[in-house]
Amino acid sequence: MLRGAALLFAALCIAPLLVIATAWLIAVSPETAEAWQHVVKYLLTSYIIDTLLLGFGVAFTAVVVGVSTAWVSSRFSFFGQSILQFAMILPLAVPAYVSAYSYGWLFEYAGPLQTLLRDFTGWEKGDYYFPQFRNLGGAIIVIGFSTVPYVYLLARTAFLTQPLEWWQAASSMGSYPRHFFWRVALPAARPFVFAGGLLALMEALADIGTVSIMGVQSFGAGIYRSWFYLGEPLVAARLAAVLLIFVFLLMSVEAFNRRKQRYSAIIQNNEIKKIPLTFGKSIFAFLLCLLPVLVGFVIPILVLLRLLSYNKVFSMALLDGEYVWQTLRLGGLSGLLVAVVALVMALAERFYPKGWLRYFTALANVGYAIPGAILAVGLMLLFGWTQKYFSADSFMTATIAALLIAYVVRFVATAYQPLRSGFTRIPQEYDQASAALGKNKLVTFFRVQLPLLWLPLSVAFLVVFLDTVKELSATLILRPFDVKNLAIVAFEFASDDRHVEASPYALILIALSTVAVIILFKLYDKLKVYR
Amino acid sequence: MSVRLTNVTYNYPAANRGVKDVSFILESGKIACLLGPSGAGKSTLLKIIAGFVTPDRGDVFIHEQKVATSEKIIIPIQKREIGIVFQQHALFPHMTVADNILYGCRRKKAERTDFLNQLLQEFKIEIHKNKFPHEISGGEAQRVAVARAIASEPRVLLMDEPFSSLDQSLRSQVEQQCLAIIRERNLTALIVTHDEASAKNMGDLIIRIDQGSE
Repeated sequence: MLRGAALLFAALCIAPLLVIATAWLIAVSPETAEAWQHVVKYLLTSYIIDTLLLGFGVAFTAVVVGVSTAWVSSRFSFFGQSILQFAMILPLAVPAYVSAYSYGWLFEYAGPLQTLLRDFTGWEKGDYYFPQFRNLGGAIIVIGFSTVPYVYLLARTAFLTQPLEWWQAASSMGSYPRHFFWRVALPAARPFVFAGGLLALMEALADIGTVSIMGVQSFGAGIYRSWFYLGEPLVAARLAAVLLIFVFLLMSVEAFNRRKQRYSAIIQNNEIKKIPLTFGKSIFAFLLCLLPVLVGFVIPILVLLRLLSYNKVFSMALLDGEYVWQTLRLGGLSGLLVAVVALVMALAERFYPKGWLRYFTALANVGYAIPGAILAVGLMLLFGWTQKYFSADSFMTATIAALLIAYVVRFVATAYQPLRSGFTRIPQEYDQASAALGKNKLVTFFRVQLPLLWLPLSVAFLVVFLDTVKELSATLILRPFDVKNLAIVAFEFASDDRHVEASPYALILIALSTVAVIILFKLYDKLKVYR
Repeated sequence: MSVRLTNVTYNYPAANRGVKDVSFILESGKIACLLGPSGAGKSTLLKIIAGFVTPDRGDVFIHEQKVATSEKIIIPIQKREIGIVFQQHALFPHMTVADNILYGCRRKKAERTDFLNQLLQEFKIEIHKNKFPHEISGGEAQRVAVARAIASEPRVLLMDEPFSSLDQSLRSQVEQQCLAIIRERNLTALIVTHDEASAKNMGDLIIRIDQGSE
């Protein structure tokens, strides 16, 4: 039964991708063919160029900021370090599209910066130059800084687990921290840094919200526009198929990188004695680590608070408990569902480690790399075809069930990883001892394994909850028409430039995510002790 | 006879090691030691008898019942009525000493408390009854592991280098204590060890394994 369930989940994860891949084989109507020709002739080139620039720009920003802050915080001791170490993961709580519209308003003509400048200097429109934020560069900064924690966490783990002897050997040969970083620490941490950079890149590819607000012509924006404004699902599917090729290329590169990771010498844990910095350098280190916290967390929140203050009564009156409830309901349901699915998969792998099952499990985990928009388009088409085949009414399209399926496909890998590592920390001898004492697999699972998995299970639930609460692309396309969560309502207001109305929803969304991030941080700490 | 192996062969996939054509008989109530250097295949034999590994060839009998044959498990581990003591104890970390010992106990509820107290007394671990595995020493953990294996009242007790994780002075003390209890209960036991002196001290029978052969 376990194997059957794992197989079913894998099939569910692969099906929407197969649907997308077949989008090219389907005969299209003359209108769709014309729409596709239009896209190819006028838009496809800019989609490709903007997507590439956005992806690599975001990865570059995340890697440069993430690695430098990880290095400084893992090797040196400086003023305010203990608070910053935690604060640096807070940008995870701010969805990029919320940052995008905060910065968009901050920098626009009627925004506070330009207003202040005009008031202060007496200049009028056209008298001065002010940088624009709603463009590709702005999108790179916003998504880049929102993904810095991915690189930071991975790089920091890499630096902290490098053997102390490396540093001792290098320093005995006259090496200073700067040389050691470039010649030893960074090359050894490369697989981790690469994985973090790739995560940031994938995040940029998956984005719909930020690019729409910033006016970037990426594939994500193209898929969204083709579906909603052109009303052409097959054009959206074809664009998704092109993007899928790029995603698979990146996944192949990551697989190659993982193979190489075996040779990187992350051998043992050491309590590294941090090097104290002089006052001047300490200030520099503090400011460096403060930068991602300011850009990715503090400034967007301050801007939102400022927006909220413009019309407090009006804004708060708009705040409907229904959106908060929907957010909690969707996040909680998907967290539970995905954690259970991931648990079944991890359990199947534990009990049947050999044979065909592991290939299906690996395939089922592909979803993490597939942008939400692609999955949503694939699932919509799949549901549409299924309904047509059974000549049924729309029993799946635009339902909570469809949305939850999308979340399962998209986030099962993020829940699977902590559970899998949770299982690997339970020695096989426990299973064997239980079996030798006459207990079957079910009893062993409930009495021995499950009580030892509560921490990884909580992490799995929270990670999915956090992802779902912030998720926009799949929710936007697949949600039932009467279901709106905080992410949707904030995005809808923001994309209409109704910043004041959007601010309370965005702030509550950030507050919820921040609570989840703080609990996650505490759980990860416990997980270290548990190890 | 309690345990019988006939021409048992097993090769680890993608590894040039395993066991080859091993046959022996272990009579009921006797203690046998599987002696040999590291990598000789002692633990593999134990796993085959326990049912964790299926032999490529040969037959395994427990109390004259064939439990495994060439590439086939006939009786699964849960039904073989064996007790296993692992090198690293494998005590369940979320259960107390008492819960660990009673985990595989097949006795009726009413009898369990007395049975538990009797075992705790025998192994001199009464004061640790409500402690968790991380709160007791290595020697105590090893005694709990043996008590847990015995609590399921197995037909055969399998022990994989059970005392090797203890230091020398503690080892002989725990070894003697456990051995006395095993003999007192007239249990059939197969103990894996690489220490010849220890094997001579413990075993009624010594089975030497070298390069996978008996």
